[in-house]
Amino acid sequence: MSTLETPLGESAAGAEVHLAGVVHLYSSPEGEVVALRGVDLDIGAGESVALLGPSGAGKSTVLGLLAGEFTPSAGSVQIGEHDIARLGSDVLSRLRSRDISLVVQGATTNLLSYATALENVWYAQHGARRRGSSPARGAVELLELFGVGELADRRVAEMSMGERQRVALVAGVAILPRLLLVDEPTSQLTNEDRDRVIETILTIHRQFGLTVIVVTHDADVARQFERTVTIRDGRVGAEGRYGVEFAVVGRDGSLHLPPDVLDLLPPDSLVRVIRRPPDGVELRLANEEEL
Amino acid sequence: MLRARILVAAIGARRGSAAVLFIVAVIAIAAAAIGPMFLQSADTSVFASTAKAAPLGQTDLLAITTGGVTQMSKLSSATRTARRLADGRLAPTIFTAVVASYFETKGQPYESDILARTGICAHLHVLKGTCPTEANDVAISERSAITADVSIGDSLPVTEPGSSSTTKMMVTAIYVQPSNDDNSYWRGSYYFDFGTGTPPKVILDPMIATFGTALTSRGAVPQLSADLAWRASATHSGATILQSTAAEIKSRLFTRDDFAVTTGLNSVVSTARHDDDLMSAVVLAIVLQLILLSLVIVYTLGRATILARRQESEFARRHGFPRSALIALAISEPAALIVAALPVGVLVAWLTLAGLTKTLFVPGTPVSFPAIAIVLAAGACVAGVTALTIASYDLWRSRVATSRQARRVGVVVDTFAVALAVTGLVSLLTKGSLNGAKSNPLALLAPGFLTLGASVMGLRLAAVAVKVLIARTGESTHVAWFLALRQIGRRPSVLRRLLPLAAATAVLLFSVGSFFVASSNRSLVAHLEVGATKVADVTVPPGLNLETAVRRADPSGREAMAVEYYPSSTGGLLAVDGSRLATVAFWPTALSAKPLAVLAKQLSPRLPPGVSFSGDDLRLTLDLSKGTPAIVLGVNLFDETYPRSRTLYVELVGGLHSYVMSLAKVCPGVCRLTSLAPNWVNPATPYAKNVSIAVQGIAVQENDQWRAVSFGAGKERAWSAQPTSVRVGPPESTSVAFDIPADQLPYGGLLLKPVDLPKRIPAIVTSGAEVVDAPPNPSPGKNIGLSPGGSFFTAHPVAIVPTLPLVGASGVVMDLGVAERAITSGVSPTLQVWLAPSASPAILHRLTRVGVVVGPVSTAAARLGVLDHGGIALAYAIALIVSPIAALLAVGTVTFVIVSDGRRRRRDFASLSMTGVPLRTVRRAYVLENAFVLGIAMLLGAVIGFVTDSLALSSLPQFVSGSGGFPISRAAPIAPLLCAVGILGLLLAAAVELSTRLAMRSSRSRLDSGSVE
Repeated sequence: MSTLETPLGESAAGAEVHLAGVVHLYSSPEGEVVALRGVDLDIGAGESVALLGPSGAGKSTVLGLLAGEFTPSAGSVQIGEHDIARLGSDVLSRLRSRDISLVVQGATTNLLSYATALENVWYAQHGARRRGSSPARGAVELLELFGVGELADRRVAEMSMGERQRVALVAGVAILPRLLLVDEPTSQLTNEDRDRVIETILTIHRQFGLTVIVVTHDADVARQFERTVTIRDGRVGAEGRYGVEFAVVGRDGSLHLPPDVLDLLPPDSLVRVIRRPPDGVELRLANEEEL
Repeated sequence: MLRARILVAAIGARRGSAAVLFIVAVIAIAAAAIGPMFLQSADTSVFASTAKAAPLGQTDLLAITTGGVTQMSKLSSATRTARRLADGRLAPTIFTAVVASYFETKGQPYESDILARTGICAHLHVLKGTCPTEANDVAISERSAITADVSIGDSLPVTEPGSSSTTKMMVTAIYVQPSNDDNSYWRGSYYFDFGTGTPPKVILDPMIATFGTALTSRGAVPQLSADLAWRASATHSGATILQSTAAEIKSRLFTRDDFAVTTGLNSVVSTARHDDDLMSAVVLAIVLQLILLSLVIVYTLGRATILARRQESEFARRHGFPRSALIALAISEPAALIVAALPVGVLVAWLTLAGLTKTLFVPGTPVSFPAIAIVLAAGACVAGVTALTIASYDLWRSRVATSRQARRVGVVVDTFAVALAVTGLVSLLTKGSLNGAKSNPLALLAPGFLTLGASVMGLRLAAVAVKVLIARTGESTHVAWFLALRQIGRRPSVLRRLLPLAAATAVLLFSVGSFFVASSNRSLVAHLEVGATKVADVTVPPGLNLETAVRRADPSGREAMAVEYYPSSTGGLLAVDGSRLATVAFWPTALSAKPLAVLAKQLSPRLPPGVSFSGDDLRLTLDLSKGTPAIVLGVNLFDETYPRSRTLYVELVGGLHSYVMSLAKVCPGVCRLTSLAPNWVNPATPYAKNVSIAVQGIAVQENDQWRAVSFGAGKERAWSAQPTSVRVGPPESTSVAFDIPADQLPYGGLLLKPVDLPKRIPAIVTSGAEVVDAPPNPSPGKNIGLSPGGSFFTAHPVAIVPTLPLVGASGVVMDLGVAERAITSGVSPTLQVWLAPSASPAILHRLTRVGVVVGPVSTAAARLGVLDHGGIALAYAIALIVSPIAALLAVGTVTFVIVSDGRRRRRDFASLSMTGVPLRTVRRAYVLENAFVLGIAMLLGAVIGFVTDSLALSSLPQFVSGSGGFPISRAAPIAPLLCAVGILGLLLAAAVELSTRLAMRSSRSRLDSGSVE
């Protein structure tokens, strides 16, 4: 298992992620809104995971919790040995300067629009520099490594959306973090740009072996990652690995059924659970006689 | 280097908000710096204004000594050195030499000083002859010449006290005495005491002579004086410099040479300092609130620009910048702008003040640049950066604040603000600062406290109201209202915008209210102090009746009014032409319960005819009961030309006889018989019977012809007697008879008087007038004994008022004709002609044409000009100047906030439109949202402004009742206040419209280009 204390540099490796019983509530004028209803999720070091789900499912909230943007209402969020919710602001800030990187939705919000690509990447390393660490890779090197070297001196405001997103990803890995969190990297992009962005993320993953968690609502995008976790109604509903989708049993024993199964077993229906040894169960809708 | 480049690039990318922040910072810094600059200049101006308003000569250094030529030479030398020491601040010295002297003509002695004064001939109106230039030449006043029967070319035998020798002095000129001493030449020294002596010693005006004549001692030691007046520009050097210069001159020169020195400079400085202190308190209270308001605006702006600056801070936070780096990043941009604004703000303050100097201050007042101004400006900078640091808190915290945390912080801040406001207001109330009982500049803090408390409460109430309204519009078909309220409900922070706007509105209304109330009160005071729009001091030649002359010059009765003013330490008497009082005098309606026109009619009763005549000799035909012991009859006459009483004595014998007396030296013009006073020649006369005296006839001889004078024979109550034990006989067609108990004749005091005054003399009396008899204070309907001008008479108040034009809080107004008869003390009144606001400029020429000599003219406008340069007036003026700037700043900030908000939300608008909500409805919703929030702010500010005006105006300096009895107004001036609210409303409406247009244009173009998600 990698440790978060590992200094930034050549030995960089992915971080393990554990979410246990995570509940998160938002306040709104109408009252409290439950964003997450008990998320249990383990992600191994160096995995590349896509969090998939419809809008409002809670996937971006998961990402925010992992980045320490806010603390969960209940449950724990563990990155390596650290319970991220319990970290003080200094420690959290230090982690962000070398181990966790978040690329939020909308390319422009990740970059200084008036600065050049080179300045953005350089500035992204500034936090680490302020803490006495020297970046393992220079800004120019990183830009060239990910195929955007020609954009180095161009101001972000003058770039296309795809170019911005790719530069944002380079800025995201400027410190070679152990955990890269990317929120909806392909929204508002053309198919061509989308493919380039995905390719950039996968290159980052391959190149540095860091843990990558990408939030998307696009199943095609999700399929390109090693593992897909589907979030539905604030819970982990399903997982897909290498093209096979699985329903996930929650720690409280709950099970999210796939949408097509819900047609057969609508909410509030009574179901008989029939064991099928050695490793299966059958769900059968109770018939009128049984009732 | 790269960081600096990024900072510059960031400012360039947000040049709009950077410019707004820079402008706000410049204004806030200017507000801080302008206070000390203003106060320093205002101190100088107030002193200059106070010195100007003080009686002329009060600030002069007056060196006094006695002696002859040698002493005068020493005095002259000392004053030359003094002028050098004063470094050009002293005007050329006016020297005076006065010697007591007497002369006698035709057996009558006269007392008339010899007066020499630098440049005197240029300041006297010489009627005939030439001003003396040779030794022993003198000029004599016209009235002295008439009284002493002297003319040009006569040689007067002049003696001096302590000398038996006589010097012949030649009369070379006849002059008219100056009307008063309140001008730049006489400087409060009046030497023209004609008529103040009692017979047989008659005091005349001084004889004007050269210094050579005056200083040649013939017995009496001349009194010498040197008047060192400050030049008008000297007051701009400031009180301290003048005081130290005066002290140095006094100690180094005059004390050394044993000259007595007097000056009222310290008294003037003390008055100015009192005014300064009040002004400083008012200005500091205003500036403090404006700085706080600017800081609130800076804070609001900081909050409004957070979103624009969030990209850097989010970038830095996500990349693990340390806390210190985050804070530096969050505030570096605004801090750089604020620091850059420091020199500009200070310069703007200086230029603004320099631009306003002519309007605000006494001309010539310098604008200084005190170090404290820079210190305060730097302090404002620090405060601004602090406000922005607090406003930028969200940018440097490590985690995103939850709305619950934000609410908790909001509650704590609001509670603190309300507690502070309530504590402040309660403190002001309990210390009596708001109850109008006394003047207290602290009352100026009331708008600040009220605004703070009420705005925060209003904010909370508005949030509750929005929640209620959201629920009500949930099912409503008014989609625009629903959207607008929901938007506010989702982001109640937008309501925070109301704080600076409400504060600025309240402060603006308070400033407007206090300025207009103060301005109107100053105008009222100026007019009451002067008496009318214009007041001319005049003199009239012998024999010319002022009232008649004025009526001839203004037959319409709407332009001018004759006035005689009898000043007195116990209360002045203003004698006016009652028929013109209402149209000419300044009389605020609040001064009396009844209109002045009604009171004026009551002031002018029908006058009994009295007994008046003019001629060379007077003949009384009296029938004294036969066998009556010898009686001396005093014939009391009043000279109406040169107001004075004279008495002729004649010894009566029993039977019907005529007695002839010369009027030549008694009444050269018009004479009025005021009474007959019979007494035993020998007080010990043993006579017990009643004595009968009957006046059978009165006649005067003129041009050798006797003419009968009407004396009331045959008329009821034409005569009266004092005491009442003397019986006035029944009216007979040819005589008036008196039956006098013999015991009344041994002593003086028995008077037989032609009734020439109404039984009750109507008068308008001030409540503070000194009355002779009890009760001590005048009360309506009760006759009171008054003693203005040294006379005694009983008046019947037709109205009791707190103050009177010109006279002030202690005095009486009477009809001129009545007063001329009632005043028998012989005191000379100040003659004036009051002019109405509508008076034509030609009226003064017309007065001159009818023989009135017009002297200096005082105007209410000039007096108002002096008051306008007073400390408090300056404070209100500066408040009126800076509070609209603060209001514009607040409106500008709000405009900036809603315009940037509108731009930020254009995608939302486009999205809403794409979901089927018509763009028109979206637009209406946006307008309603802004109008709702800004309307609440305006309404709140307006209510606070009005409440503060009614609460605090009565306690502000200049508004406290009881000062001089002036019926000052403390009512909020509705029209200017509504006008201010209207202008603010229009500006905000324009801001909403601008924001809406920009937001909707962008939304439409997004829709057209299909760039909405």
